[in-house]
Amino acid sequence: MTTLVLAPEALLVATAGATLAMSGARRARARARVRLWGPRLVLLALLAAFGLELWLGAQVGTLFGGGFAQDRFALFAKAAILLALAAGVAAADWDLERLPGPLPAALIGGFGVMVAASATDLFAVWTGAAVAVVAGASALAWRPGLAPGSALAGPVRAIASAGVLLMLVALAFGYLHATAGASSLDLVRAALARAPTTLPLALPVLVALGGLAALLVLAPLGFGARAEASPFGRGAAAGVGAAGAGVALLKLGGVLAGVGPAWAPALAGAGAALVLLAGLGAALAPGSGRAAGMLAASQLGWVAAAVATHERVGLGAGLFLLGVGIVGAMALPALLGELEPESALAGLGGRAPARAAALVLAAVSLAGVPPLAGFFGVFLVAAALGSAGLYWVVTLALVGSILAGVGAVRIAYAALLLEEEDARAPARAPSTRLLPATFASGAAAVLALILIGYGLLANPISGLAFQGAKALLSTR
Amino acid sequence: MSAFLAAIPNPTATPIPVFGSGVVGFSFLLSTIVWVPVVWALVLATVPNPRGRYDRFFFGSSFWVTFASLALSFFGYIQFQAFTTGPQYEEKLPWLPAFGITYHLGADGISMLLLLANGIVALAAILASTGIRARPREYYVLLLLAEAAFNGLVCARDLFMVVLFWSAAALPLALLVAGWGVLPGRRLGAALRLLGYWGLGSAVLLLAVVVLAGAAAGGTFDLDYLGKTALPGRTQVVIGILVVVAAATRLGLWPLHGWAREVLAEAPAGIAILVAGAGMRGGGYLLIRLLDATLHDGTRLLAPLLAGLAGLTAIWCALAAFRSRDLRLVAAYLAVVPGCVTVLGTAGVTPLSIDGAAFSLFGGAAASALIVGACALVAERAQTRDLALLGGLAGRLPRLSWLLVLAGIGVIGLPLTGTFVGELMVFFGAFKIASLGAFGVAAGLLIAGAAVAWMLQRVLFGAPSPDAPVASDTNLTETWALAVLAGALIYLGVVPGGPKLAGIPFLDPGVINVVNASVADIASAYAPPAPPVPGAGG
Repeated sequence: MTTLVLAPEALLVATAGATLAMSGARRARARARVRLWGPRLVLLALLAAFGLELWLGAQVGTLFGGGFAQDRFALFAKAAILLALAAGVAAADWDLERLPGPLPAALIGGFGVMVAASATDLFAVWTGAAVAVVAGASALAWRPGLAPGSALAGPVRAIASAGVLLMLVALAFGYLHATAGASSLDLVRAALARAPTTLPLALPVLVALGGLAALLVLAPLGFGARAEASPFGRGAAAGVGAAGAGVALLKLGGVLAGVGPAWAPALAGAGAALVLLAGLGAALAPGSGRAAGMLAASQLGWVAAAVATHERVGLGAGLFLLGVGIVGAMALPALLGELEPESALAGLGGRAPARAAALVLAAVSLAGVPPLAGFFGVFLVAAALGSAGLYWVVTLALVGSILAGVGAVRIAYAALLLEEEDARAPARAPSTRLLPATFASGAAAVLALILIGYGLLANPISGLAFQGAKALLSTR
Repeated sequence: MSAFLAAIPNPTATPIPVFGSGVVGFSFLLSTIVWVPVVWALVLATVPNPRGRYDRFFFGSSFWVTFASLALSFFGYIQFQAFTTGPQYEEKLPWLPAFGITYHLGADGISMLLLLANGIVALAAILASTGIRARPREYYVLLLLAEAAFNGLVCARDLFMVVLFWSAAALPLALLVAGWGVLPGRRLGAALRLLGYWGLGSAVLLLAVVVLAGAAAGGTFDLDYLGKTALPGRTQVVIGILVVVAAATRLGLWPLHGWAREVLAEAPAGIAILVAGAGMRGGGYLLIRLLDATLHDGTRLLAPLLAGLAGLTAIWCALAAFRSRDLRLVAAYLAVVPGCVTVLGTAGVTPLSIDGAAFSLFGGAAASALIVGACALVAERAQTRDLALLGGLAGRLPRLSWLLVLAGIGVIGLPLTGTFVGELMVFFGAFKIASLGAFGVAAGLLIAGAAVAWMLQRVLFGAPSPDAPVASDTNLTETWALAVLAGALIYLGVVPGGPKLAGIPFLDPGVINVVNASVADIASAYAPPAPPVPGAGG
């Protein structure tokens, strides 16, 4: 394997660096050009990186003395985060975002996810996930709208809460390293398979799994901090943060596959409880923005539960669902823009039909409603949990998904069927600001196709996810 | 081009070329019926409609797509090999092979019958939607999606696809009720109820499928495999209960009937027809397909519960219809009653009762759709749904009055209607085994008959109220919408075995014949053991 396989990572880092240079535009004409072409060029770079990943990443092997592994898991996870970033950039209304704003943080977070996906030892996995989570949390630092200034209190709280969870995970990883006498994932797996399942071992395992699962689900909720962030910033925090935590969680699930499944019901139960609570939150959330975050959290809870199956089909289903979950989690806030109260969505179907359709499809997919991508993932995870005998987990999580469905219907109803005159307070929905969105119709249509095609043409995608899970469980 | 065509895997699992044999080779009949409405819905969704310029186009094109789908179902029906068991027109392709999921469609006699019923009901639903003025594009897009989901459910031979299509109908229908419901203050509540109950049904069905596939441990969701797998009795009962709950949410069985009352009373006429005619029948179909055909021991054990549920629901709904003072609520309660006959048939577990249950799916579809459609149009045309204000409409709405009378007769299953044939078979087949349930359903039908008579007397022949608004009869399209259903109901009652010319079947092989072979296959598991031959054995 050649170092050419690192081309997508290199392109992503270069793009992140280039976006930082956007703030250097001083004159009005240069700023206008940056505003016009900046997001388009970033999207182009992301699509190029995605193409390169699919092309070059198909080869399997290791680099740097085994420190970097390119396998099917890495291929799937990297392709998913690049696609999610592209979806987020394409779906965002760049007339309402500052530039570069949260763009560099999102791209750096994406790089962190790619590092975690290719990591072969515990600390590299943690580092990649930490970069992704912290970058995601820092993407919340830009206020919505074009007014200068930043809102620091929210993101500081987000980084602090994410940091605490990351520290707990680091401590648990350290304990696992000390127990196994090595940090390589293969060696830790082999050592743990031999070790008896005792309370001193179970506790750090549960802390690591719980911490990562909490990060996974908290990412779409701004890591628990009520940050007044820009739509793309919220999407980046959700997509990149969840991807980083999800990739690390799946990798840890692979490491623990050989250990007795004593910890599995706890994680599965926690995942199901998160799905249930997030579903309830989606059904009752006062605004569409919060409902969107809850919807994403609800779907990502299924991913956490999937890891508890501690076998190939479950991990494959979890990876498959993580892929679609981060695309939806990234795109939905960006598509919602500043339309936070549901009444503000009134008439969107008439003003921007493609955007409304993509918004509805993203929400419905996150709720796991068929025949969209999310349903396929949820079904596969449910089947895997059923095979593992965790029927009570499936039951709880399904109740959560029904509640999430109510949240999705509220968004769909408001976006498609609510007329502007029906809305009691159409306060913040000036139609003229929605229409000139940079990529509006075309990008929304492409996103809609992704959400439909990911499920209906699931054969190659699910096959790759399944191979990814196989790679997680195999020794290099 | 030929290389491209050669690269497409052959989807036909059965070696017998059935559809269009000798006329036209067409391997994707069921996929065409299921997916063409979806594709057309996506096309319509992208058509701009400045100032309502294409409103008629949305109606017209949806009508023709549904008509073509019905025509294909009819071709499939008349060329169906009536005396062979197993699914026909099969299509089987790997979909998610890593997870044991296949794209498997196929139609046995019961599926074929329901496909035809769904087509007729969907056509009636579109014809009854001519009054839709607000957002016609969105309306027809959602209606076509729901129609495709109902068709997909009856064709699916893989449990993943069963869950997929079963669940896929809920969202479009909820949006249709929320967006075009009659009373603005109540439509959102009705839509959320529909979503809640059907969502619960979807979740429970998914759980049942997960348990079934997990217990079978075959790494597949294919019904052909799972139907032949012998599971422990306890597991069968657990799965059976889940299937009954899922079916009850669709059929509106007590105590899961709340959505039916709200949705059938609040939805616009076209959607009420679709829900009552196609949506609710899905529950009966599920009971036959998953309970009777797959879980034989579980069905035997659950039969008394199922029969009791059918009886209780029939009595409850009939009494509620009697008590209601809202015409559309009366229709909503009455529309649940034919489903109880189907449930009783599935609980009877005899060849005759299951035959009747399958038959009653068609008759029940036509009767339920007709009663809710007719009452919705009466309420619309008379500008009130209050029974205290309705009266003496027979003279003012002659066409609609005839159709309403026929709907009432159909619901209670009087002779010469399709429901009568189904009821007869169900009662003869089930009375001995599930006598209490059968008595309950019979009592429910009796009370429903009284409710129908009272409602008809009040609405059509009672003294006109001086406070009643002006009423006008249906237009031609709306009349056709109900006439299609009425025609199907009477045709099925008059010639259930198909018309014959000089003793030779003419055009229609006969619903009974199409259903019979499939039911015989299912019912063979419930056949009583053969009596010992004297002198045989040791």
